[in-house]
Amino acid sequence: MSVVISQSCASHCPLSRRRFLSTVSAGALGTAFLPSLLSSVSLAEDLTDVIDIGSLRSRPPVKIKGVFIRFKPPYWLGWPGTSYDLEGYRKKYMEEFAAHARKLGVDLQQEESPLESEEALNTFVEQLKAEKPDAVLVSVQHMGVWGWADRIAQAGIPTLIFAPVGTCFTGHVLEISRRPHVHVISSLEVSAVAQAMRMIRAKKQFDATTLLVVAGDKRAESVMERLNVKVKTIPRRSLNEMFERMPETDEMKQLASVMRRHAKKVVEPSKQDLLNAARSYCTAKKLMKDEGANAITTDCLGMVTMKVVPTPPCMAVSMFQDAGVTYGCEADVNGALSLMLTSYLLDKPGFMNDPVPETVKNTLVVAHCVCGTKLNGFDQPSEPFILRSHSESALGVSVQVLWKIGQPATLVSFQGPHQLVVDTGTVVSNVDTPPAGGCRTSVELKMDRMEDARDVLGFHQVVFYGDHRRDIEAFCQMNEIKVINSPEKAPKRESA
Amino acid sequence: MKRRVAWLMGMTVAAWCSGQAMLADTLIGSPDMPATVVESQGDLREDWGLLGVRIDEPIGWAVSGQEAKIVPVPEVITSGRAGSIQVMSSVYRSPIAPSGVDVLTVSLTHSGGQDTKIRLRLQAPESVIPGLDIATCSGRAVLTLPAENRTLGPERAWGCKGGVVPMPGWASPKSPCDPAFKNISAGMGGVPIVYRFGVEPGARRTVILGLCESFHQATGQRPLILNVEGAPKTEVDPLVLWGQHGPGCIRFDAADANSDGRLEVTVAPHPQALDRNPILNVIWVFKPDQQVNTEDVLAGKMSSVAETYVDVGGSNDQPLYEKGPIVYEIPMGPGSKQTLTFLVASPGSSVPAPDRMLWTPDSLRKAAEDVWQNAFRSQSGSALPEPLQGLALKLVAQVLMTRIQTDDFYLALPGLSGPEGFSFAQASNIIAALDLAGFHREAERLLRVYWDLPAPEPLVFLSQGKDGTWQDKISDSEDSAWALMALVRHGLWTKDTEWTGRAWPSIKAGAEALRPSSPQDKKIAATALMGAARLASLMGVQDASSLSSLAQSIDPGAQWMWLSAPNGTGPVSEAAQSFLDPRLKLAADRGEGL
Repeated sequence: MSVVISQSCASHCPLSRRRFLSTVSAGALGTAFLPSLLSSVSLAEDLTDVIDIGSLRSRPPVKIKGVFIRFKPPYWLGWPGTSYDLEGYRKKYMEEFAAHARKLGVDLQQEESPLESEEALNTFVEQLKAEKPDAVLVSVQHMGVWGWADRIAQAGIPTLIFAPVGTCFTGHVLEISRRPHVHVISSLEVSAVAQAMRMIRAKKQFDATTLLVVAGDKRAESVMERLNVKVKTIPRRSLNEMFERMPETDEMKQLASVMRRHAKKVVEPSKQDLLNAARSYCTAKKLMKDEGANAITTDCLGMVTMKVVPTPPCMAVSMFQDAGVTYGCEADVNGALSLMLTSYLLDKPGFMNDPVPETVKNTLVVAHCVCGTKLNGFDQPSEPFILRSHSESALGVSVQVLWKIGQPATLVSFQGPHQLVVDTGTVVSNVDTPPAGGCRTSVELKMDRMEDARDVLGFHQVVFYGDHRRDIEAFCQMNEIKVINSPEKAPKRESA
Repeated sequence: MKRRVAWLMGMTVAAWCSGQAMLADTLIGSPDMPATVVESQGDLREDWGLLGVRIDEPIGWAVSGQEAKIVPVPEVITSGRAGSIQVMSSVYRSPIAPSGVDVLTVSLTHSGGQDTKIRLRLQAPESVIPGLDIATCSGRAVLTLPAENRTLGPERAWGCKGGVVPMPGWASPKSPCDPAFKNISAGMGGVPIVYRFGVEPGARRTVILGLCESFHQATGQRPLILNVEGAPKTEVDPLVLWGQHGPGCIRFDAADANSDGRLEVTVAPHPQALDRNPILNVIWVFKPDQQVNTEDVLAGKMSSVAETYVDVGGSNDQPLYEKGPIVYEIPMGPGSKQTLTFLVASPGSSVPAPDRMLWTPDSLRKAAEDVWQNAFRSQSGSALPEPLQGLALKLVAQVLMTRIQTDDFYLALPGLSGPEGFSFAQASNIIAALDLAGFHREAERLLRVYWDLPAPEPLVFLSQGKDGTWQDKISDSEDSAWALMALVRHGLWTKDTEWTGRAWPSIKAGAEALRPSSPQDKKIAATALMGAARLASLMGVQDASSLSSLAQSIDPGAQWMWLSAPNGTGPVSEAAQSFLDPRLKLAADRGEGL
């Protein structure tokens, strides 16, 4: 129930339980304290308030300017050719771009007329420099205007170039397509333009993200180079103290029930375990909201080791990933950045894991007790999952997600904000615990282009559905992040 | 200590500082990072020394004014003039990972009609050693130095480019070797170690680098990239080659490839290195006709015949440039402007290597603005009318830059000091001001040490005693009364029953333990008790009447009212008082009660 008052809240805001009670108490005392010196000040929020998890996701405004470039028609010879329906395709592409932009929440401002002269080009470039949109989308409609595309790219704004097949040869794009801050799509696949917009959006999302690191005993805030993520550290005890104060609510009971009903089966967890796990989920949401954070990573193992919480946050972590809000494990900032990458760039949850070599089959087993279920995308159905306990502690609730056999997968691992490991593979099995030890979601991957699975680089890598190597590399090129592939970095054995 | 009780009625509005007047020492910083003091002449008081900007030419340099801003970021702007040159220096903290840096920007404007040259000098401690693009102090990178218009001292025949930390005696070679293997320089934070050696243009040399890893035990921790001019770039992991504490040598056939008469040797961290601090122990440079046996070099048998032998980080090491002042000679035409940006190590931090960082003046500024915006956003309720809102933000900024914290306990300090500088009286003003400014969460954090037991070290001495009293190291008799007052005000003003419920046992114990001695003390104690009685009523507990009776037994005329602790010294106390006076006057004008 919410109660509305107007005395101390000009906007008729609903009262939380905590505030409602305090107002009632003050009223019961008569008017001795009123009008209060602080009558216009709102009070702390109620721990029982339901926080929409979607509101925590980084959602900055993204503005992309769109323009078509071509020579003045009609054409006589020269690609795309006299028979090519210039206006028909321009209209078609503009509509499709607009539809993708709407879906992605991107403000795409397309020029109504194509640029067909040097003068128009110059004016447009000056406009770009003045307006400084987040990116410019250039659609090429004649093979002879690549010089114009180059001049737009040199305006200093991230540039997406869409060249439908028939508007370039390899020579046209050889250099420009490998340039930092430029992404060239030479294809008829308009969905690639959507992905390119997502790439621009992702960088803006990184820029606007505050990552809450719950670890140690100090409060601090700093900003990372390149990705511009604000890293806000708060003492570890903040989380377990809030957990202790958090009452069991209807929201938690409902969440526990939903997870139980949707699970393929429940092995170890009790009803109370599920309630505790849902309480952990609500606690993390509340903490993030209080701290203005969009992503979180906690010293979860430390808290379990010290037995300051009755449950590790594993189920909560899975639920966060499915909602597009990063929850990383073990206060590992690089792991959290890698999770954000799949969430922001591909709208898919990633699976942060520990890498285990399977030396008989030469495969890599990626294992952790946390995994999102919506592996095909946030708007897609969940993969089947089993509710288990957290393997190492036998406490709480962990989600064992059953990955699709034969599914291509990509592995990413930030090593600081300047460098990213990118590898690919294919799911060959789900490993059960027991007979295996380790973690509950345990997925065996046959790695691509690697002689030996032991040479996979990194730790706490993030694995996710699909072969997105080129999407990731494009993002890295756009943002000058160095890409490393494991096969190239197998240890050298020579001596000097 | 004599204390003054200021009453709400009759309180005067303090004048708040503004404009171009000279300021006392001012703080800049970022929340929960150690603050830097900016002195009245614009000099920065860092933990490694005092840094200032001086204009030697044109002569007659003088500071004419200073302005302190809080929004969007705490910043001090110092103005001055030297002849026709207007000089404006601004400094603020950019909270770049991991520990932030101070950003000093010097803007020069030439209003004269003739071409002129400006000689700008950075006044730094003697212990600061300027390198090519970075200056160090006791091995710590403390200052970035833009190259343009820099006047360097004479270049030596050989030397280190700078920015690295000499660490004599760091290594413990496990087998007989040249004594220089015991010493290293390290490029902390990924700073490459760069040496240059003067040679004839295009000349060839044999270069031997000596390495000994004595910290790591496992391979892959600190692989290095060795780049000797004219030789192929080499990746090396000393642990793979020689093991922990194993000295080893790597030979290069070097050449002055760009014919600049300089042979450059660089040791940088490998991109895969988990430890990003490169190290180097020894360099030998031999003339091309010298027969070189690497084993003899390792054993120290050829050091005396080397053209140059460098005990890196040891006794014969030297910087590339002769030591001298950090000077910029800047030509300026009529009406022209020039800007120089220096990154300055703030307390506890180092500056990043300029050649590898991506930070720009704009992104440094944005980082600061983003973090402060988040901090200011924690204000509850609607903004106060100006100038109160500005004073409120100044107050919270000062608190966030000076408070001491440990494990989620925080201490409101009057200025830059340790816990021994804490005063319950002063803190009561600061916390009340935060509440009255709408920063309830910050007030709540500062109150935790009052009621939550046990407080962690080093704050435990401020915890409430078993007898219900509080005592700071200033040891006034009114400590307990002011502590109780602070708790009671927060509870009453926020009406936060959840917080009050947690703090109530402490409040009750504190109230019952009050044993005032002096008349002054009695006034404070009785007022705090009256507040506690009201809080008891708010909470619906049974203690209200007994607390009220207790108050009246101390002072028959006791009533709940505003009492101010005496004005304190220190920027935070002053900011609190500057806010409280007009805020309470506004309340009085409006007829608002407590």
